[in-house]
Amino acid sequence: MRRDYSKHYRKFQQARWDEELIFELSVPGQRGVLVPAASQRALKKVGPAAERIPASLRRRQAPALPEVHQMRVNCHYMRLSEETMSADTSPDISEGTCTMKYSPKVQEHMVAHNPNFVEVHPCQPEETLQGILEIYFRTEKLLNEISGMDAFSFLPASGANGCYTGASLVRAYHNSRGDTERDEIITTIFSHPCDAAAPATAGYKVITLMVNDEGYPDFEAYKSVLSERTAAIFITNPEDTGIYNPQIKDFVDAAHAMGALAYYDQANANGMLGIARAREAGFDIIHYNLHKTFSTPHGGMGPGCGAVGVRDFLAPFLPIPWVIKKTDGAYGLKTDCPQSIGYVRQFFGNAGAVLRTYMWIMQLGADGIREAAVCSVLNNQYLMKKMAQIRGISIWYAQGKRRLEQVRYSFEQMKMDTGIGTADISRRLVDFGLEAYHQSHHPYVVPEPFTLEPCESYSKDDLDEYVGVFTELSREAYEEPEVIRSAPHHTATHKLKCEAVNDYERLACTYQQWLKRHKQT
Amino acid sequence: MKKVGLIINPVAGIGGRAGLKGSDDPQLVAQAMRDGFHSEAAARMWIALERLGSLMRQCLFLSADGPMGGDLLAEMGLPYQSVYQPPVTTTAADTMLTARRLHNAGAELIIFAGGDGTARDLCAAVGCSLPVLGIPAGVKIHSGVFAITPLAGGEILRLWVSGGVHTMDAEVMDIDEAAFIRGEVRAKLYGYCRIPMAGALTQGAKTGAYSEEEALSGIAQEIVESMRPDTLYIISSGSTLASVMDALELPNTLLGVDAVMNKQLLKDDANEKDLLKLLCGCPAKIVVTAIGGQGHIFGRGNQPISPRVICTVGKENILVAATKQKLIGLRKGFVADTGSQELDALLAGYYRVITGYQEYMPFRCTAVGDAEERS
Repeated sequence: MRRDYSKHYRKFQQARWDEELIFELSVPGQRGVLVPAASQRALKKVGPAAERIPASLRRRQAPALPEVHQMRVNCHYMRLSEETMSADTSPDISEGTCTMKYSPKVQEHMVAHNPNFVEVHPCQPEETLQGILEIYFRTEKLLNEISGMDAFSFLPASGANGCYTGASLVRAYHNSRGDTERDEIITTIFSHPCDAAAPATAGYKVITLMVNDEGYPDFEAYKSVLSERTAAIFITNPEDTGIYNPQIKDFVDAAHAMGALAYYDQANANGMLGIARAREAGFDIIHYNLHKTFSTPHGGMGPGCGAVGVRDFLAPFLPIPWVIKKTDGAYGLKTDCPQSIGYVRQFFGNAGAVLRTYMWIMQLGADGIREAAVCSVLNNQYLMKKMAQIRGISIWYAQGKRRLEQVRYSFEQMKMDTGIGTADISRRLVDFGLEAYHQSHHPYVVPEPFTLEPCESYSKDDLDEYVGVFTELSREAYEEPEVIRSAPHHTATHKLKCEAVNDYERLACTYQQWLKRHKQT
Repeated sequence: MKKVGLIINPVAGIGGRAGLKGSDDPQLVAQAMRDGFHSEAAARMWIALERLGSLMRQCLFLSADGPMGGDLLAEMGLPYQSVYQPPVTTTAADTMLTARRLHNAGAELIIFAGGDGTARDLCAAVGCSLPVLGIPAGVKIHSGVFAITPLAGGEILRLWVSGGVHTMDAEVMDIDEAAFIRGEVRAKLYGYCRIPMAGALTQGAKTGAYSEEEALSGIAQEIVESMRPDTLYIISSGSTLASVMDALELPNTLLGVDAVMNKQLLKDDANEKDLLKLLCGCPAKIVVTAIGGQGHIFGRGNQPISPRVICTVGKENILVAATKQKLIGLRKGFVADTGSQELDALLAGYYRVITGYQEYMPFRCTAVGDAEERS
């Protein structure tokens, strides 16, 4: 008989290894792989390799790398992986805004093992790279169709890198028109923080809009700051809350009327693939995170790609190299682009992300992509309705309105009633074999927040099990809160003290730095 | 072991039960006690301490004897180090004396049950020299040093004992009881205390990508860089703007208004007349922040910036600065309560608030009448 997943709490127990740091395993002389010496023929041809490095850059001492034999290295990393939660062992509904959908394994096999992909190198002559260049070219056409944009760049390696590229495009565009006074961008408090941070890094002043009582960006506030100093608006929609801004067209039109551009952060476009396009909403620049919406793994599992798409009038500014189709039908890389903002990444970006995206789209087709969005939104409606019935959970803003693909929930009521808040629940959640959840981006506006996004990949059983665990967590909070306070109980590490993370005197980013601090070596 | 100082104001809240507006007047309190009213301060402190659970054993309590703390700790079976033996009838002076002794005895935090009056006493006695945490038990709770509920206070205490909680400055406010009895609400800023940064609005240290200090230094940098030559800057009260004076390496009047030009201090703790005199013929800017949970940008702690001063400087020359976190806490926007209803109405509208270095947030101000309607 099948289990009733709404009442099934897994008796999860994570492995706990008292594992050393890899540096502590080091035994002088041990080797994992014996690298063969260069052949005489190679030596004759190129000479000693070290001499090819300028003397000023050569190390005088060998780096203090750990010396560990192969089996022990393997053992080390397998143990660490056993102590880690994984999207392959449990449904990852917890990372709201991250779009942790299932990435079909065939994509991984192709990218990790297929010699036609694995063995090519970006320094090869382009006539020997025709396969991957064609995939770039075709993927661009597919994304143009999905978004309504006219051209894409796959160079940015992350969403924030894409956003930075976008800010650079905005500047290049205005400068090309001799319009050099625009030094401000406008974003909203529930847009992804990189919509503020990346333009700030690119030198723009940042104006952030608060939400009004209904949970929408305050349009009156927007109009009060929109001016001839505004270079662009950088916004996410639906926002972090999962709420779709019904005035989005007004925001875009007002920006355009002021001569500003409109940038749409579509890193997570899961709620509208095949349903609505950025072009029809009037946007000039967008970015998709291929590692979210288009099923490229992420969260430490794979290199990303923040694909930047633009309308035709901005295409001349896209970063180089451009992948082009020549008149003879062959594909090539073009770097002679005088208006381009230049390089934003080495070579031509993370080709693996583009290849996976191409595979994902081709497997699903137009109808399948739309169905992914529909299922993602449907799953979210189901989860939201169930979660809202759990004692202690509330949903801020826009009462009675639907969210798209994610929801920012709040444990404010539970915190007031029991003292148990979102950080406590997140720790205890892991005891049930589910990943600790994403609370909120900064700054925290919704108190005691947590954000869930069930994507299209998860079944009703997955959702029922997830809701069941939250129901049990709520019961614990009200009836036996000590279980939660002392959690986690079944994981590799126990409760960590967080103070060191904020204490720059104690925080060490590398082992060598830690050694210097603590052992004076 | 964490050294926790504890103070209970044994008359806190009595006035409220008796239908008075506060418990600051000893004669009124004595009458209320004779009428059979009693304070719930100890009971509220009990709720907070109970939340500590097993962490109680990691605390060394210091307190005054009797109803100021000793009785409660004894009843809860918690040993404590006595710092003071108060008289039978306690007054504000006993609170202040106990607070000083707790500080001298090495308390790392003072938890107190009381209201705004008690908070003022603590502020006067120890200021920002150690963190304090208020358990709301008084009639008047306008200060930012109080937890929302005794339970929430217990939770903050628990976090603080477990370690890793940052601290921040919070306003100590009180209203003029005599005026309030006449029906006038006049909240006044009395000073600042350090509090653990773990309230429902601040979310605590665990989420801390930013510290309050970093946000304030960004604001200060922005204001200082934007300063124009030969322009008078009227720097209002509050700890947000103290960071501006710090960045200028000028002495600051926390509860008063300072006048700065060309990065030099022209007049500290200026009054209205000083400002009007300085304003003769030169361009000027008024730099204000929002005070307290009600969001006043005028009329709290900066009365020298009078309607005449504001009209001379002009609305377009008002700079407002506040951290994003503070704005998030002000759900109803800013309030202007200058004393002139006409001017208050004129000051309504959106301000481009400085929230960090080259960071801004448009935020609405309403005239005081409208704000009361909405609250």
